[in-house]
Amino acid sequence: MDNMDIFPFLKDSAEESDILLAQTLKRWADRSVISKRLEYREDYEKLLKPAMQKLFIDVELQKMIWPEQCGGSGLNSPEVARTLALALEQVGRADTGIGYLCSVTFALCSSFNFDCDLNEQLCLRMAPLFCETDDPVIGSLVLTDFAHEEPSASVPLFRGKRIPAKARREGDSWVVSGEKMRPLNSGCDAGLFGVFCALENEEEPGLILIPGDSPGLRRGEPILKTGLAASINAEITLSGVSVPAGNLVFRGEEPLRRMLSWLYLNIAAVSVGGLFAAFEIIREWGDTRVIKGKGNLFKENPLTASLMAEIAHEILLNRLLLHQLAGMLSNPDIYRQSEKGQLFISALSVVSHVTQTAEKAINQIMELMGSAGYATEWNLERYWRDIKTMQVHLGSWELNKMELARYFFRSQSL
Amino acid sequence: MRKIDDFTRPKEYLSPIDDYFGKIVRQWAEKEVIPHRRRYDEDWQEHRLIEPAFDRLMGGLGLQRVLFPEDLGGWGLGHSHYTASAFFRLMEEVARADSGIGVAFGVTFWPLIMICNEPHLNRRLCEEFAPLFCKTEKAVFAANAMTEPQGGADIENMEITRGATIETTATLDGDEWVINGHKLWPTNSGGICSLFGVVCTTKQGSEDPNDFAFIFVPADSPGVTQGRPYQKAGMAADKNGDVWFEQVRVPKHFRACGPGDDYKYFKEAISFGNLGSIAFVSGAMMNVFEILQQFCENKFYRGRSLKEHDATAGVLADIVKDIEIIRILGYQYSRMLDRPDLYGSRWSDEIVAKGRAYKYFASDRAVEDLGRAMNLMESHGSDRAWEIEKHWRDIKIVQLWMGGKQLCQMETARWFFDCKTL
Repeated sequence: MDNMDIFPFLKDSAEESDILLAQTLKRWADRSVISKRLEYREDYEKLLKPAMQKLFIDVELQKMIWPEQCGGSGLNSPEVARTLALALEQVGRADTGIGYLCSVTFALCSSFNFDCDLNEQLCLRMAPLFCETDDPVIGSLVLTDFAHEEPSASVPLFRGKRIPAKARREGDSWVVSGEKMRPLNSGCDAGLFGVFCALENEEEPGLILIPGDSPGLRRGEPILKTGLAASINAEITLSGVSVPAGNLVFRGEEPLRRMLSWLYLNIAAVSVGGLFAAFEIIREWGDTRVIKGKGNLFKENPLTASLMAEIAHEILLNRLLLHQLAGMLSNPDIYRQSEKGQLFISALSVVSHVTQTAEKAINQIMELMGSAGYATEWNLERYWRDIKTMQVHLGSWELNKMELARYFFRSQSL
Repeated sequence: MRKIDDFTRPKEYLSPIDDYFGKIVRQWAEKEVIPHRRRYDEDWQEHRLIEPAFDRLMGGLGLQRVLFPEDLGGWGLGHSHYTASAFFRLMEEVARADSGIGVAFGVTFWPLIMICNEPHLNRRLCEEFAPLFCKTEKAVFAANAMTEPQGGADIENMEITRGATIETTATLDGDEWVINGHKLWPTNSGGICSLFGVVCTTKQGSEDPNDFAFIFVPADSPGVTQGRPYQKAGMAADKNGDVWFEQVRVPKHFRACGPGDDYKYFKEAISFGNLGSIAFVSGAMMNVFEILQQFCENKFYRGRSLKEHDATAGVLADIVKDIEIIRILGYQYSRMLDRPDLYGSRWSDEIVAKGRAYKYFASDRAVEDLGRAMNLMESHGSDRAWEIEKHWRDIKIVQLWMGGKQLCQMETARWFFDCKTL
């Protein structure tokens, strides 16, 4: 039975084209990644890069959310949330790292090419980068840091978090500077960065697009990290990088939160996809392993069956939550008009829940599989490392909870 | 500023060599391991970086000799009344630097426990194998070959399987044992082992303890083949692989303790395995404390260091609370192993079950705490540079080995509730 059937989602709101795309991506996952990963493990050149080429270019995921008039597939309305949820599940099932790159890239582009926030001029200028190329292009974000190194009052803060870069206006340009900033992903090879900047002489910060080939953009050495092998990250430094004034995508908190809501939806979908992969691995284990001597199948033992049930239970609930969030994001007319910030809070809650329970569920699967749980040969531990890495990139849960407290309890000083 | 030595230890029953062990191993860790360990992951096959640290610890400092009797070149720890307490301190200090090195080093003692510890010291085998470990400056590794392909760590579930699932056979042919079988996962296999302790049966399918055999096999014996090391999520210093025994012949007296006693004293090895696991967790968590101290002191939120943020401090408190308890628990278990006159024999069902309970408590708490610590550090939590993710990967492995959590649960429930069929 296919994972798309065994774990339900809101089928009444899914378009046939969404299902077809998910099926296409499942085939891509099986052929381009899953069938080859035992041989290549997480090798970037031999496995991940060719798989990304097929996904981004051959399957045309790279063009998906760009307007038709810009050469894209025209899925640039909020209704694409349901499409993204189903699609990124399959990408995450194949490789959570590739899914993460898609997540950030889609979130960045959503901030200026969705019809409700459409910046047509910016779209037209940026579209060739994504839509007129035969190479994968990755988008990345440089956002606020919770924990930072300088306690001084001179550090620009936004809701208590450090704004990483500064931008000043010079004629028709923004000149952007920032030292050793850490992007969410792909500092080594991203083609477009969205950098959150303190804007000189303005009260509110804003997001400015910096193309990857901009003079003055320097990339550091690759950062060694736990997971997400597809994301070759590095600190970047912007030394007076000049970009057109129109590269300012938005100012202020509300559009930032809208963009983050899309990021959270995407990461939640990738995490559910990672759980699907983990489910397939433990299902095979339960069907074939024996315990307590010959003949006792793993899945027939009450203790192990109970844990396997808990894992399936988490996957089921996480998928329902994910598609509920997709439904909310796809209906901005209903949900944007409700309590201010509600969509963002829902997205933050869902992605936090999904990534935390995914960590727990994969931890449990590893416990069930003993040494095979941490052997790379069984392909489980890579999902464990990837999902944990995505989770910590969302920021400290302790500090994210302050957002929830501010919303639900009107806390004023947090 | 608090130090790791501020975590409580039972000062009234530390071993007389505790301070000495602690001092030399900590110096070794600071010089030989901590500056290099973030590059260990890439060294998992070759051990070019890791090998010198092993040589210094085990050969140069001579710590691989400690269990053997003094007159054979050892330190006599195996017949002391503080074997476990000293072992705990030693393993904790090594694991603070690298728990992979800790397990490779600790497991070298694992088969030797069967012949070096009182009251079942096997003088003849000690004399046979002491020179291998005591007359060299190089690290020498031993391994327990237990796990088999068909049922994983079922073999360790001794109360239920009673040796019946063991497929590796030992057949007496004159004055020699002939061993045939296939083992998986022994720590210190993957090509580096010099001496195997092989769990085998003299009669396939038998539940008779007399048929359970623990037989020493030098790794260079004809018919022994070690496969390449497995790639794992962590613990690069610990090599694991397949081992095949095909018509391997060893002298009859290489059986560790004899019919019935092999079965009995192998459970003592399990007790020490659990003690070592707790020590690895405790040592790694000491270093986690040091890392968190540095991070939360020097990172700021809203103008205050992270440790001064109430919600963050709550998490920090949860973590150090667990470290404190894990360490106390580890020393308590050490004392239980060192004082069989008070607590019962090291191979008793009670001691084995309690060791399982403590091990899974410690590793469960640590895995959860490490996950929370990584989350607290945001993207730095997954950076190899901060080294906390290394402990997260390594301690997860500690949680899963030796049969994993479910076996621990069953043994614990079996003893406390007198379960008959688990």
